[in-house]
Amino acid sequence: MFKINIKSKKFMTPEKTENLVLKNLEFNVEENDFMSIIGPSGCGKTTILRILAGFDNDFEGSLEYSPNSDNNYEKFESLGKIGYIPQEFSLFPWLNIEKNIRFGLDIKNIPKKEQDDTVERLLDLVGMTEFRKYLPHEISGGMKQKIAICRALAINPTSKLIVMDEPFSALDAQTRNSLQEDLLEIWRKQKLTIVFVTHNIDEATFLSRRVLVLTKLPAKVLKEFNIEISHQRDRTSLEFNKIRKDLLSYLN
Amino acid sequence: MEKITITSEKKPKFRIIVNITLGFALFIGFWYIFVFILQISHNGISVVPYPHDAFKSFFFLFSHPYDGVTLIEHVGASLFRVFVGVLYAFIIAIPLGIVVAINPILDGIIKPIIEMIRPIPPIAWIPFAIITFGLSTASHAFIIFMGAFFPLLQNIYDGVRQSSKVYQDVARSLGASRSQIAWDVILPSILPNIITGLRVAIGVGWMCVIAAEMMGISGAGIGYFINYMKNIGHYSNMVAGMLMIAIIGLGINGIFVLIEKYALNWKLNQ
Repeated sequence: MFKINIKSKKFMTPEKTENLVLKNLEFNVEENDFMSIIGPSGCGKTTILRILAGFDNDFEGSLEYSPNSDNNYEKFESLGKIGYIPQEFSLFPWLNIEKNIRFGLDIKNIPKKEQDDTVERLLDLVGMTEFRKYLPHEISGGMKQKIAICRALAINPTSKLIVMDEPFSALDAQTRNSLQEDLLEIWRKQKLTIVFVTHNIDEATFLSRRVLVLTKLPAKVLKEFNIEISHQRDRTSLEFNKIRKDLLSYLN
Repeated sequence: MEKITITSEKKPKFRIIVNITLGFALFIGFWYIFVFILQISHNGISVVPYPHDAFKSFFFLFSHPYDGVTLIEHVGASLFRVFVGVLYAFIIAIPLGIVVAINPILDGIIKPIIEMIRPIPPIAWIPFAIITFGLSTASHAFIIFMGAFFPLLQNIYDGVRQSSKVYQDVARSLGASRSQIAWDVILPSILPNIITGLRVAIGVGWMCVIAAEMMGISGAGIGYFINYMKNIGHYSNMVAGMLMIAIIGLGINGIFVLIEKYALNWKLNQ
């Protein structure tokens, strides 16, 4: 289990004034959780994710992990240990699909045989075995994001934690819906733990077990929702729309 | 029912060949007209050779040495100098461009020096090179280096600055160290800039070597040959030397087109 406690996170504006972005923000991420973070535009959702991913250490607070979920927490260094999927297409354009997945394994000097097995397993997981030699510009946006997930999974992240920063925002509605279903399937099969930032309430409702609604700046947790309905969610059902409506009311 | 025929938009190869031939024919035509007009205005005498004379000299010089040196040997001498100068520029500009672009402190210290030296034309370094290195290959290499270094450095610097931070973030998240990010992410991502910089650097280096040779730094090289032919009044040989420069330029450009087509396929299609 992960425990995130951000007492304060400040940003320096171009006018050299300090801006408090996050204040007393505290939440846990359970194993095999699917947690979405939503909030008003510019409320610091991406900042939280960058702190979680280990890119930003300039904050007051702590990021801790309990390996056995027994409340014995230790400081957690995220770099190289959790998967990160950014908003933009992030596959290295000079490497083919297979080499993109191998990247993290290569830099960790994982033996070739083990690399081959991992690549094979992940390509099979997303049904893209025959695309292994394609360059990123030769595949669709949705496929790119699937491979980005494979690349993040390849390093075998701690507790299989993957943080995703609006990964489907650049895609059309149809592809986005289909990828959401694919992501849920991967999450189920691989028993992943996902922290998902989005501004799309429909997406948060469809994907999450828990949703954190943040306040305006300085952001803190306004409300934590547990979505109890099963993961065969029907976007047109009354239940689904009630949750959407509740989330929207908090956002407004 | 009306039959619809869909034709390919792709330019057929023979069309490209026709275009090139037409352009070449136009160029030769203008050359003839130019020499003809020159001849009329100079009472029937023209120092500029007709194309057929220049081409005749060109092919003759291929197999017949002039003063014991063939045209190819002159070209070889010039190309070797360009190679040495550009190689030094390449070896120094790549790490320096990356480090200066990444490190703000070094950027603050080194960038002003670079900006100060950059506007000095490479040709202006010729006297400096002669008094420092004498009439030697080092002199040529230095002048070519001064011409090739700055476009290469600027391209690499810009490439690193514009290189997407997302790739670096992803690499960091996958556990890459700083040196791994530099080697495995920044370097491949700036490869197109390196190739562009190299293309400009070789072009400038080629111009510099011709100028340096014409100014008499050495007794061999295509620039020296052209200048020598001008001095002894052998103008068709002089123009043959110029044709040689054009062909070398075309060849270098062709090599870069191929590199871009095959090695930078990913960039061209982005």
